[in-house]
Amino acid sequence: MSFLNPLFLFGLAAASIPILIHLFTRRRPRETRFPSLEFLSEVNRSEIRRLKLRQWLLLLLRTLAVAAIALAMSRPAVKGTLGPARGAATTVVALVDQSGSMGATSAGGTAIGEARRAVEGLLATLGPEDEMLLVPYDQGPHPFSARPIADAGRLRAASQALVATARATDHARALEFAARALAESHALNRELFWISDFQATGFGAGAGGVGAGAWRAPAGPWDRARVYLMPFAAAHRANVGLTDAALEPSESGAALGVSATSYGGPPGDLSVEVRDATDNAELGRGFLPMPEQGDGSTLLPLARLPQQGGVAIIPDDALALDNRRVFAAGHAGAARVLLREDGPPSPLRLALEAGSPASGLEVTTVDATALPARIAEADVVVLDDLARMGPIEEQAVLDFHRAGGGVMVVLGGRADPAFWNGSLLRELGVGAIGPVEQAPAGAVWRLKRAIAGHPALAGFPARPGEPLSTAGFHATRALDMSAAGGGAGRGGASGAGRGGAGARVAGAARSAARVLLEFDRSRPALVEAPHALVFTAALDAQASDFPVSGAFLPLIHQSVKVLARGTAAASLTPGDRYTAPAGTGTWRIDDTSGHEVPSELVAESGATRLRSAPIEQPGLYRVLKNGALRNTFAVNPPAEESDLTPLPEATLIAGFPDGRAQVLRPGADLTRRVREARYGRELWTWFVITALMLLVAETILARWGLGARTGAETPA
Amino acid sequence: MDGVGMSAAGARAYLDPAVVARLSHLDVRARLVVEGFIAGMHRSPFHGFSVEFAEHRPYMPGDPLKNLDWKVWARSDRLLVKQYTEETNLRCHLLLDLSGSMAFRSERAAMSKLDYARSLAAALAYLMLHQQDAVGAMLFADKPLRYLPARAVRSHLDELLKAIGGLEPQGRTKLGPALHELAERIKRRGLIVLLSDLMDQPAEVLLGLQHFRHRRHEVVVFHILDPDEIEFPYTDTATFVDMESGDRLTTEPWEIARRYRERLAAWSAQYARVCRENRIDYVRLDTRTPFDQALLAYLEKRARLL
Repeated sequence: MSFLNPLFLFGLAAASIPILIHLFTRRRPRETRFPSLEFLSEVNRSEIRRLKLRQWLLLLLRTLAVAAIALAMSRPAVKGTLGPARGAATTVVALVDQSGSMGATSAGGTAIGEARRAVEGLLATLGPEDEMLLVPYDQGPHPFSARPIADAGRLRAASQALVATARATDHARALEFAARALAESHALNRELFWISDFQATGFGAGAGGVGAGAWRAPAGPWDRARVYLMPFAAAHRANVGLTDAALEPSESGAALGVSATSYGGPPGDLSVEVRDATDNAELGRGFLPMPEQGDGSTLLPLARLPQQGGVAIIPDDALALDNRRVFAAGHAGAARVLLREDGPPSPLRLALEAGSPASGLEVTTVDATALPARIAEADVVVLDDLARMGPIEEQAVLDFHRAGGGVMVVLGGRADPAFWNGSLLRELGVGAIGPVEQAPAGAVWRLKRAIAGHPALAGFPARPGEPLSTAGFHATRALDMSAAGGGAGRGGASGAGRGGAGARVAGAARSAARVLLEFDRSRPALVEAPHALVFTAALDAQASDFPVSGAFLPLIHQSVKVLARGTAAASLTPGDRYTAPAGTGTWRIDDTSGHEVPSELVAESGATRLRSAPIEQPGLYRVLKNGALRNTFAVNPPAEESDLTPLPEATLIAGFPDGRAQVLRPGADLTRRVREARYGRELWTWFVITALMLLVAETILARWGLGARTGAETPA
Repeated sequence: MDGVGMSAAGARAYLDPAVVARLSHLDVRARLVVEGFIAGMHRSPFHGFSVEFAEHRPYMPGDPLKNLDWKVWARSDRLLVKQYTEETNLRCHLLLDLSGSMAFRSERAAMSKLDYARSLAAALAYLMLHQQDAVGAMLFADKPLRYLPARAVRSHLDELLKAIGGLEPQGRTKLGPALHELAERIKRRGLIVLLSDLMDQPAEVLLGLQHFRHRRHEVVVFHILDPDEIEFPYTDTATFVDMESGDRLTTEPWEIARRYRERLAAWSAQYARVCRENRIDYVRLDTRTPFDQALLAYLEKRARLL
């Protein structure tokens, strides 16, 4: 048993008052002369035992009545099972989900709003010795204080500041943190209030995807703590979330590829609106065909390319967070291309320099000694048919790529497989090249399209499997893509690498390489890896007539531009840092409102990079060098937040040892229920009733005596 | 008779112990009590107590018409009532208890039991002597203290009153020996009037009274108690001190009051029953009871004797 107003227990001292009165009055009887004590003695002798018993009974009743009143005022309650402990009476860990999905509309406004009210309700249950550790979490825990605190004012202010972020959910990390906090507590009661929508995707594929029983709570003091699950589910789970929006070159001009995923939304065409992020001008409008469950995508023609970026908007539904998706226009200004080749100017160099700088490319040709010094200022490095590179040169290119720079490699007849397979190709994760293969006599290989919808191939009418042009190749390098995967995946994915039906490297699950062009099924021609494109044939007149074909120039220009834009066009998720190669100068990152995002230049893997602080808010961000716009990038919420399906409560409860968790429904009487659950049922009403019954019994017993005391009965 | 000149209402006031208590001299008390008693006789069912004409007095409304002296009325046109002086040889003995318990007087009582008994005894003596009866007295506590033989002369009244009022309460009540001693001493049949709170063993008291009956005396017992003795109205814890033995008893009076009253009633009823069985008049009085009740009881007894 515990007492909610323990100070009133001092009132128990009042229970001694009847005893004191009794003792006091016993000591001072009045002396009365009486004619004869004969009858008095006789009656007193016979009555004395009954009188004493009645006296003590009265005394007991009065004492118990006073004690019962004092106990009632101290608000006793029956506690549950408690372990031996010291310190505060109760340590409450309030684990509050503030991930993006908590912004979903619910019966009481938004889930996070209801969570706020629940936390305030919990605060109202805290006694003077209780303490709380408020732990908002999304991808990770963000505890309000290092240790549980009893300052209700600060906790209330912190709870009122709770808002849904745009981040993804990681329930496991948060629960591990809560388990540690509970384990470190020495409080009498340890309670975990887990306030969340219990979004299944936040538990990982094992919980949400496999089904009930797959999720298990991390190790913790669950046998010594009470766990309450407070679900705040969205009012409607049907939700459609935009998963991608990116500019796509199209034959008619600019277009926006928009993808979305439906989670129980109404099937049919969903209207999509595209606006310029800077002036909010409408850029386009269209429809997105959506199934009830699953993905849908469309290509919306835009009236013009946005200067910096835009936003795709679908109608509001259960979760507003994923109804807007920002996209960046990417690199601003001309892309700086560093060409490294040996020998006389090649057709590739001529193609790159054609129309510069009006073409959007600024091409600088360097030799082996100049490359390390100039590479930091480049957006793309093109390595044209080099036999090998010196160690310094090789390290500079590797650092450049690792820092996010785009690399195009043309592997012609000069390329030394031993060198390339051991250095850059392994780094890029595209596989290993073999010796030069000659086409059969009288035959040539045609450059065929292997993928649809890639920006590097924009404008080419060929469909997958069809030749890009009539040009034929006489020689090529064999490429064993099954050896890929070792170095793939470093850095962010390029903007061209989203979604889609690319010909992924078979048997290389970790490789992001895919074939864009091929000579035939076994001979890739153009392979895309993160920040990299690899040609497996020489782009000169000896190897083919492709350099003189009409497809050569646009393919080279588009490929280089895709590489140049790749570092900027990718969409980050909240909490990510923006990183990009950066030369000397004054760099600044800000959003479209001009609010600066903290950033710094850091030396990383031998290269200088611009790195921002973690960016929390979805939106469009600009990268400026010396005041001039150099790049834009978008931050969008993670797609997994769109699935509002919660993990079943039974699975949640079963995830704790012995099913110790219990579901606590939010409601107006939450405070009372929590108090009762913590302290047990309050017993003050029973004590009041007991006190009243004791007083009634005392009155009856006393009046029985009083009747004899004041009665006017006179013997005959 | 004395007191004729006093108004009847004023005279009757002296039947009230509260009024009598304000009178200091016992002889005055006796005279005024008797006068008050006589003044009220016209309203009582008692039909006179004299057989020999003594004098006339003015008729008062309510007087029996049979006592009107028609001859005087015929002669003088005045309404006079004949009053009689009884011729008697009745010998009365007043037995007055002077034990310590008789000194008890509660706050609600105007006088102590002893004062009440003295006043009543004095009034009886006064009345008896005025009816030519011989009156004697015996004062006793745990033993006989003083004995005055019965005499019928009026001068004997002073001696009686002096004896009755002269001794202070003392010792314990020992009625048995006193009664037996007096029964042996009084040879001639007469009227024995006992004034006591009877705080003794009932068996011994009753044996003593039966001793008188055995000697063919008529006995009247005036059992005098204080109101607080009867009602026991105490409300606070008290230590009761026995006035005779000095014994002490601390108790909660309200707790035992009911049983005490029951016990007292049973004790009193035992006296009444045994007295009735032995043809002894038993009159219980408390110190607030008007004196005429006792005097009437005496007169009724006397009337039966004559």
